[in-house]
Amino acid sequence: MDGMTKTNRRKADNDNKLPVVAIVGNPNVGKSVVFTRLTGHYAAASNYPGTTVEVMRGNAEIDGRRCSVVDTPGMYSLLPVTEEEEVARAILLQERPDVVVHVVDARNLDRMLVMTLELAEMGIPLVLAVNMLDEAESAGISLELATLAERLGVPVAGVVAVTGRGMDELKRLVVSTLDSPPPAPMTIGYAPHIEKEITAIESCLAKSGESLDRRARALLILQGDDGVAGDVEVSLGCADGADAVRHSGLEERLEIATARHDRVAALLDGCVSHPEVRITLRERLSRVMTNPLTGLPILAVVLYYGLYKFVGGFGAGTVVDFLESTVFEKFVNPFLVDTVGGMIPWDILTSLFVGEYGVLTLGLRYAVAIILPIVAFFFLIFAVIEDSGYLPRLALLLDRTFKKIGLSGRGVIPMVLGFGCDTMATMVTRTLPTRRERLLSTMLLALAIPCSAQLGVILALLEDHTLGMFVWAGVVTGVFLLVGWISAKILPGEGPSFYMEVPPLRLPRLGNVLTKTYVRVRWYFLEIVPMFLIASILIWAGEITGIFGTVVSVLEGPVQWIGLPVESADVFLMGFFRRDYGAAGLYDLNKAGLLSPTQLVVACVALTLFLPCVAQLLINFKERGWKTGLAVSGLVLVMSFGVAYTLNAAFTVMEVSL
Amino acid sequence: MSKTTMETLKTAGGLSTAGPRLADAGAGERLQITKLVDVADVETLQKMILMGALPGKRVEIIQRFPAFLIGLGNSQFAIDRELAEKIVVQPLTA
Repeated sequence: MDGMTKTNRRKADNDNKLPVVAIVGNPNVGKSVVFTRLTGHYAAASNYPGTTVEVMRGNAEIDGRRCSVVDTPGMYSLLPVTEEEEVARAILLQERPDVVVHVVDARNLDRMLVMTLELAEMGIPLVLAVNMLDEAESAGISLELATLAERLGVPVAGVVAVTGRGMDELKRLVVSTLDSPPPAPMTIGYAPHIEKEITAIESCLAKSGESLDRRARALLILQGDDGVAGDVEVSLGCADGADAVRHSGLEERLEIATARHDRVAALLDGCVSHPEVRITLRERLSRVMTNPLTGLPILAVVLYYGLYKFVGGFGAGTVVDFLESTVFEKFVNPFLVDTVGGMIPWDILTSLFVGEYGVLTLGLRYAVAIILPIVAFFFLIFAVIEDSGYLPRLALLLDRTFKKIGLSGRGVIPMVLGFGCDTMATMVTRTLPTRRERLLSTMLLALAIPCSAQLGVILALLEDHTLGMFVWAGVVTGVFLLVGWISAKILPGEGPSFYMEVPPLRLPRLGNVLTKTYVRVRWYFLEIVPMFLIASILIWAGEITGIFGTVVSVLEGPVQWIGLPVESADVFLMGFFRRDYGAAGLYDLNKAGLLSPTQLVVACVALTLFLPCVAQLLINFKERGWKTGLAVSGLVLVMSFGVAYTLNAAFTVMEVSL
Repeated sequence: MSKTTMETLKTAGGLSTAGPRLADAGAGERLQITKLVDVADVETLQKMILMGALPGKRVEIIQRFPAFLIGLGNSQFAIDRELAEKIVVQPLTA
């Protein structure tokens, strides 16, 4: 066996470049935090060529050595299933980093070390970072990391990336690994029939020009790997190898995985000691959350206090009122009107900045006084919910329901995030495993999930109309389920299967929550403010040229058709520029006393379902292609006016007024 | 190459002869996985592998409805009935 073959490393022409340190690991083990700790800054994320997967890269001084650090997308195995895993593997096998830091969760070494073995079998220079040591300790798990390092033949650092504990040791190990000769690939002995197949394939592999050791490649091929198959097809001249490959696939993959799991169990024997299994308070709470009898009431409480009271009541109510009527109407706007009016003598230009639809008086006011607080409060509560580990439990609870609309429990996360920002949520649908699920969720987000800005304004509008709020919520939920159910029936393809790790519940760390909220709000604000300003300019230009008036008069038809006053045509046009912008317009309209409660409910329904804002429209096109984007928009347009019409007609026929 | 990965999985235990499935077990039961059956695609197999739902491993059923919540090693996973049907189990041997 040539398991000792030296792995080809960087070629001489690369030697003057910075050494590359890659960070790999499962999703959610803290890779990004380790990256930040190593580089000391948030580095630029760029799309990996040919994909939509983002990869973070940054240069840093590690223990006095200048390095280029790359944070790879989450991967579970070197045999990729998702696009993220393919990118991570391409970085490992094609870019050949000089050191790979494998980040694992200290509580789950039995599962996570399997990939360490896989990497070691490839002859990749490794450092193992056992992260979240504090959580393992508080769970009563004790780890003998020195023994583990000795048995693995890989340097091991125990770290708590969020606090920085152990990071100096990790840096030291990275540098010492940089200075060491590349390791020989680890050899794991498999069952005799597997070994026979490996040898057969090995004997058929081309000997030159490959960065990977032959045994490592043979292992990948045996497990049905398509990525390295290309060069094998050519080189597989001999019968033995071809025979082995014909039998290759799932069976071998399972056997090899089982052997690696067994090896890990043996490695950990005596290195890890678990406390007596006992049902802790935390575990009890978790079970209360996942049991539908108690879990659904808890969901109701989370929605009521988290969304309705905190985001809707406090954020969209108290804070917005204060910013709107006190800060802007009393101080900012009069000041701006005076200043700009004094500086610019031409009325037309003045109206661009401080007119009815002015960039400053309208655009800035909506962005800062109405939308920003609502979105910030939503992202704050979302970060708390996310960090507590509640979302996977919610996914478990709702999996059956989501199966009915063609999604799985996994689809719950983009949907919940959609209540914050549909545009961001549409980007997150990337994490769904099938194209079908991505399409369904994109459509449902565009149609029936109101974003926090909309939701906040709508909840504030309907605050005094409890019945109206129920009608609005009922209609929108009904549309969500019905459209999802019908689409799932119509769309070809198989329904998704569901599995998800359910991590222990944890108390969110204030610092983490604030950082997450800050990063998201900043993203939102950088994306939204230009959009608001551009929308204001377009509306201003539209007004001057009369185009705005024409479009509004075109919209007046359908608006009256669904029983709303003519003035609300403005709101729908603005709603296209930003859905929340429209919602805010509705707020103004209601304050002017132009809407009866019934009209208010119809308007809220129509606007919730109405075309996504410009940003979401663009993301739909970008993520799903223009055909799908267009189809989704068409459906949404028809549905919003159709449902509003039906609702209004139902009110009229039944002579109901709310 | 890729076609070969699509063949139905037969484990070392032979063809998918029936045995009690995880989906049939009750909440609170602790069991041993004996094999996987009807795993016809690589995605499903990878899910099993990364959960550590492999022959020889112990599994605890924490909850059955509305989805299965199972304990494997130190971790818990939510899985649907379809996946639970593919895991063949036996009572823990002392």
